[in-house]
Amino acid sequence: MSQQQTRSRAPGRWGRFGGRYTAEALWEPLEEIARYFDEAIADESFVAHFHRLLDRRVGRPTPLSQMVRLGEQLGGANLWLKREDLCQGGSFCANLAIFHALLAARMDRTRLVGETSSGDFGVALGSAGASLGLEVHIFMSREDIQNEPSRVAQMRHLGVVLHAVDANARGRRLSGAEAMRFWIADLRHNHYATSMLTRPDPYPRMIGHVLDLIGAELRVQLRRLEILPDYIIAPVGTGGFAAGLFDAFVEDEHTQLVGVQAGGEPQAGRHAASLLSGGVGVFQGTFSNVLQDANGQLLKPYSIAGGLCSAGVGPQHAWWATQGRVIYTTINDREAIEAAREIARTEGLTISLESAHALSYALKLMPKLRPEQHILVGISGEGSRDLDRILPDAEERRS
Amino acid sequence: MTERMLKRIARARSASAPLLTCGVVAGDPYLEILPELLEALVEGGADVVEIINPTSDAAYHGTVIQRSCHRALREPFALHELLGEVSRWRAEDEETPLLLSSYYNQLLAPGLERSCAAMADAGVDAVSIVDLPWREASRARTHLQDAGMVPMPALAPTTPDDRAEEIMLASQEAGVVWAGHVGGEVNDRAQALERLIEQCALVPSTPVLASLHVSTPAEARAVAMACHGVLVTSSIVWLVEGKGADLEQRLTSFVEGLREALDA
Repeated sequence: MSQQQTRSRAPGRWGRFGGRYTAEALWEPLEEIARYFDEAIADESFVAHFHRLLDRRVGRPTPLSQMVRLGEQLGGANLWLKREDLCQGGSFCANLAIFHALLAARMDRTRLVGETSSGDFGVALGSAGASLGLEVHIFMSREDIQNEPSRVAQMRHLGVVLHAVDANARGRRLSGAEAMRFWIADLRHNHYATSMLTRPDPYPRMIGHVLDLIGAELRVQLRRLEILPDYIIAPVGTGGFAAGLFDAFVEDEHTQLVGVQAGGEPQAGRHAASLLSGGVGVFQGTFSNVLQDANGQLLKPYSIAGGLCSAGVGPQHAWWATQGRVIYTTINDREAIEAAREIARTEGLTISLESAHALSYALKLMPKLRPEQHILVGISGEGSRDLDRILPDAEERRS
Repeated sequence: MTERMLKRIARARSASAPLLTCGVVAGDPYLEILPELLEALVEGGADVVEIINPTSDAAYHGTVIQRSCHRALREPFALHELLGEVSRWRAEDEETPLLLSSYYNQLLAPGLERSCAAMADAGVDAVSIVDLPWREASRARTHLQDAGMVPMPALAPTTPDDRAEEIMLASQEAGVVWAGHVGGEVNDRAQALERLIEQCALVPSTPVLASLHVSTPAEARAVAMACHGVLVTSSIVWLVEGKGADLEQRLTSFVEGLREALDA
């Protein structure tokens, strides 16, 4: 649908962005996955099975919740949340993980191989894999393992084989590379299941296609309420969740789409704002925006939210940014923490710090809008794993 | 194809001797030593020398090259600084063909056309772009050929025959093909060698260099016998890693061992 209209030329390309920039050795395995993906989504029984699992296992449709007290407090517009935190496992990743598991089973693979930073996707893949009898291998940087003890415990509980990757930073850059190497070592049994849009074709279009269901479902919910949103705001790490939310609204002139990247620690110059401060280049198999120096070497991204800690962003976002269809902005660590605390105090919700980046931007916007206007924020996941970073005495306890 | 590369391949063929290509990572242990390291490789008997342009994200190399890139980038440098050292070496050695391996982003950052022209000016003869598979490479191939260099495409054990044939046919007049292993490590050397022999038979006139994680002279010989030559880098880079002084001598004697095995 709209994605087809905004994507140009070859599959896996959005304008000049996207592509499949990998070692020759990976071309054919990726081609095979692309073939299986195209066949699967054209197969009615596969799609019906997927939707059945979304309905009965993941918990779709997820609610659209109005934040009445926050609205009254800040004045101005109405605030709505699309609640992917209520998916089974606590994040939008459950939708994608189920799809990967079904695709792996269709390909007669017995192992799912992926990477995680916040732990959300690791938990989702562990859960989906267990439900279909697949072995799950997750690669995670030591820094991420140290920062996400509750998600690591959940993964172990689900029987995930966790591989620690030596890296002196958060994020999936090195763990993703190791996951791909593990995948390619046994193609007969392994299926590479990633949530990263910064991957060679077919992954950006596959992830976009699967997560489009969030935006499509939201569209129906809004129509029933007779609401035309003025703003749709989502956090952007590599951008899978935001792409899923935005794609169904790209053609709507009325709705301004806003992607929020991690502003990190502005005083220290540490951030993950690849669309605002990066340049175009090839990173991890795709041509897109990336944080890099003048010599084309990658710069280390930073964010307090592990899921936003990415040096690169998916090609569809680079394309939307070039077209001006989506506005990209940043929210820093401090502002995100404040937003997470505010919604807990006022509405009793515990949201992830990734989602709090998008919420923070909405809270800034609300007083400036009129009472008949509507802001919609995508909540990508719940935030119990972030409490050690959100609670007021968190810094004290960490030191 | 550059005259240097053409002559060297012809010479190896007429002598029925496999081509020995040996490489190092630029900047490891420091950039200014590069000409001396290349000279050491040539002295040991390398027919072609390779320089790896280090990257912060060497996803498709093994751990030895990854660590080497990390060491090299402790003092970051630009492509033109690397090429400055190449020019210094080329002023002393006009005969030995030079292959430069890079990830694509390091060539895109200064501008692809500009990078290609600068590499050719410095005396680079062939270029291998690690993360640029054949189907994505037409633009880069054009720029490299326009600048008078040889694009060196890759074959992998996973490359199906129809594409392998396409790549080799396109490279038989103006190129050399590199048959590499998968994602940095070799999983099954015997299987990879078997596949290599099958692929070489598709277009026998195309020169194929292979690198299947060779670490001994006997392994170098086994690989070279399956194609037209062997490319040895990580075992040489391993000799650079924390092994102290007399680096050049160590490289020369290791390459001499490879040469002897190939000529035996």
